[in-house]
Amino acid sequence: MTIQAPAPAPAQRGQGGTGTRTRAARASVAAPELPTLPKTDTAPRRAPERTRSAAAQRAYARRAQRSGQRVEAAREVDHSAGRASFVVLIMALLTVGVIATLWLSTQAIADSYRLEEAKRQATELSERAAQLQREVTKGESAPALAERAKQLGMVPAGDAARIVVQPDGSVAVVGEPAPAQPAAPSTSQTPPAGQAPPGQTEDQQDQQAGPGTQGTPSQGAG
Amino acid sequence: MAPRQPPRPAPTGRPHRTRQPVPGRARAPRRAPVRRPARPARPAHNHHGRVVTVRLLLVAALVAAGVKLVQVQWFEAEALAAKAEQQRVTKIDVPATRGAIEDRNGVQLAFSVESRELAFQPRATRKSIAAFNKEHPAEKLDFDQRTEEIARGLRELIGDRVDEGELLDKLRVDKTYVYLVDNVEPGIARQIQERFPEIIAEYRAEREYPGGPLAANIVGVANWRMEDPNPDKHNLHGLSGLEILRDKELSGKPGKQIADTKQGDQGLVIPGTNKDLQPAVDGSDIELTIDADLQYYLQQAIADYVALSGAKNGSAVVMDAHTGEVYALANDKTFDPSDPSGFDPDLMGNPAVSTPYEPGSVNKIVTALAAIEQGVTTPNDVQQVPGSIRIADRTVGDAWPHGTLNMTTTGVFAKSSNVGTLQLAQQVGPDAYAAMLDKLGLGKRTGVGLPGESPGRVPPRGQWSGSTFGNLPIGQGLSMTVLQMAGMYQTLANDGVRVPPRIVSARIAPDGTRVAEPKPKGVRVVTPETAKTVRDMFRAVVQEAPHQNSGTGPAAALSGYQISGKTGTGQQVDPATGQYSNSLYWITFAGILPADNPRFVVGIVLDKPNYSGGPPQGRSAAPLFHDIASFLAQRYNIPLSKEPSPVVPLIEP
Repeated sequence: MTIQAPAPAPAQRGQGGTGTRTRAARASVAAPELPTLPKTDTAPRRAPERTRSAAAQRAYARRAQRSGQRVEAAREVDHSAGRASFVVLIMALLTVGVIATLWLSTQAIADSYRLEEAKRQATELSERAAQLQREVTKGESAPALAERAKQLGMVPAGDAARIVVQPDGSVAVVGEPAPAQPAAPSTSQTPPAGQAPPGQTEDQQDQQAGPGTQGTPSQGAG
Repeated sequence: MAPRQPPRPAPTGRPHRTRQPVPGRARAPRRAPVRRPARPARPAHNHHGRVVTVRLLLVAALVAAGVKLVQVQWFEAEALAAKAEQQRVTKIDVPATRGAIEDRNGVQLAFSVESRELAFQPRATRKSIAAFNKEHPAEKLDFDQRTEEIARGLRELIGDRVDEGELLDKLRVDKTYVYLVDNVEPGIARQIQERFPEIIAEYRAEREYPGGPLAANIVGVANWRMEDPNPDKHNLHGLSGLEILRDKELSGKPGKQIADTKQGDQGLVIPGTNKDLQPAVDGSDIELTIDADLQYYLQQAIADYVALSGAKNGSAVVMDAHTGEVYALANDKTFDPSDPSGFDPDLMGNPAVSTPYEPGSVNKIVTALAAIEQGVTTPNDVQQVPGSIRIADRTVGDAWPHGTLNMTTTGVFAKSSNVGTLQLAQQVGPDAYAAMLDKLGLGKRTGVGLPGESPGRVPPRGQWSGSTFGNLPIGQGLSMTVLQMAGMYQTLANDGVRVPPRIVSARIAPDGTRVAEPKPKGVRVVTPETAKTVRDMFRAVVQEAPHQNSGTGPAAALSGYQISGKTGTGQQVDPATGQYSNSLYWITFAGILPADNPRFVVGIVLDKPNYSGGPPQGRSAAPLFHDIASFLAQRYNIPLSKEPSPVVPLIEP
């Protein structure tokens, strides 16, 4: 347990910061080999360990050394060494933790600067969008369109005549087709098109009501 | 670690462990007993004094630190914390956007944009410049020169709508705080602040009315209010129209955020310090039943017609025949809410809902409905109509002199015979008549959803005098708004069910959910058959036929469509004499398009047109109905009526 635990630590440290590289390197001398130690190999050995004589143990140790399994030596180390390594591990973890915290908060601050910049850009863009939207909405509004149509010389169509297809296929014209009156010399001729304030259009009604009406006896046609 | 391990023999580990701490920890204690006896007595005294001194010093320092600790942590804790907070904590206001007002097609009639109002502190700036000059006598600043620079800069950045001279006056005024320019785009305000840090830019929301006077009397106007002493509560609020009536829903709720920030920089929040985040709740949008294009047309049309007829005022309404939705509601006079120079309060109201009038002959529909419903008469019944009729102490005649005529019931209404109508009303009886007035919603507010709506006035049945029943059937002695008048014809169009008009269709919450306004409850006034009969009967009003068989409003006819409607002329009381005047009139018209398959109901009223001697438009609103109906037919692609209205006899020989 105590031996296997350090394994992740060096790995973390390697990613963590450059400042801890030397220590990480040192600690990893033994660690990388840990996983290579086959579990089946250690299991049978553990049981007879206590009954062996010192000489025999040394012999085992030597054999293990020869075979390159230096970990065996670490395993053989007494508890004092284990505790020391544990302390080092904790220190390392603390260091890593502190560095990680510092690093993360630095990143967070840096990010908040970036966020501020992004927010500023977003604000500017949304302001621009709002301004454009304002222009579009103004341009789309009925009075603006009417004004524009008037500038282009357009006049209201007045009463429309309609073509109705009869059941027998022939067509009938409903209403009296009449050409739209061109804009009169006075600018007040086009009521729906102009942004005309009340009172500006004088003879529009006659003009509009004239064609297509089914007779307007009470009304002087224009 | 690793290098130390190999030399140590493994078995000796345990004893070692107990011994290992000894050299480290025991070194000091072990030496002390050794050294002390080794030292001579004299230095021992010295040493003791030193120890005591140092100890005292340490204790004193510790006590001092402790006292300070208690003071800081206990007595001054609050003040210090507050001071610290003040240094880093910023309260950031998160404004809520006021909701938009849209028409039925989503065209925005009113919406909000963010803007800035520039302000300046003349006294403080003068003072700081004086202080600067005292410290730097070599490079003196000049207040006048600086203000000149600012004025020039503002004009450059904002444009011609600011005047340099005016700005200079404001900048140099002897005040602590002065507002310079309002309605400045935030981007431009930022540029200005970069160039002139002494300029202050206050947050404002500006209400935009892209259509100008379009639907202004309905929508109303909202502006930025600063009456509240708490600046956080400054916001856009309505002044008139729906803006004031629906202010709560539109304005939303501003939020706030308390966070640690870099000093003076609201944008730079120190991460993890958001303390009190109260999000702003934007206002809801309001969707109207108005159609902006139709509204524009109607406003123009009524304004032109009022000018043409020489009337003082005029109002018109277009309503859906079945749902009672108001498609357009216009007055001849309106105002431009986007006009920066202010508004005339007289023009900001909505006379179409606030000013009732006596409708005249348009009100004959009540008699027609009651008479047909009760089976008193049928459209083709012929009755003898004399030239005048005496009701109580009054004699009522027709608009044109005639002897006794054989008029059909249709003819009575189409030719708008007062005498014939009163004869029918007498047969209906006052109680049934009063009940019909009530069912038609007269004398009661329609609840259209606009501020200042008038209920009109109908004399209560208990207060009727003898002549009252000679007045009401011909549309005098009671008053109604143009909405109520159109509502009567909507009943006719909707097969006898009156649906009170509505102008707000829905509220759109900030999250996009659409909350429809409660639908008005329809009131069954007459049977569908009665409604259809009267509707067909009133087609004759626009009939044009020889031998006195023309109705009163042929000008309202629209080729290809059956039109059903009624003209009206209501006498006004002359304020000078207190009697009904013979020159002051209300000219009214209410009609249905098309009569055979109703889509729209139009109501028109003109106040005091040039009745005699003026153009024909001064005597009838029928031509205006024709124009509106023509526009409606084209805009909504209303199918033509299957057949033209039949020509019916009005006066039998």
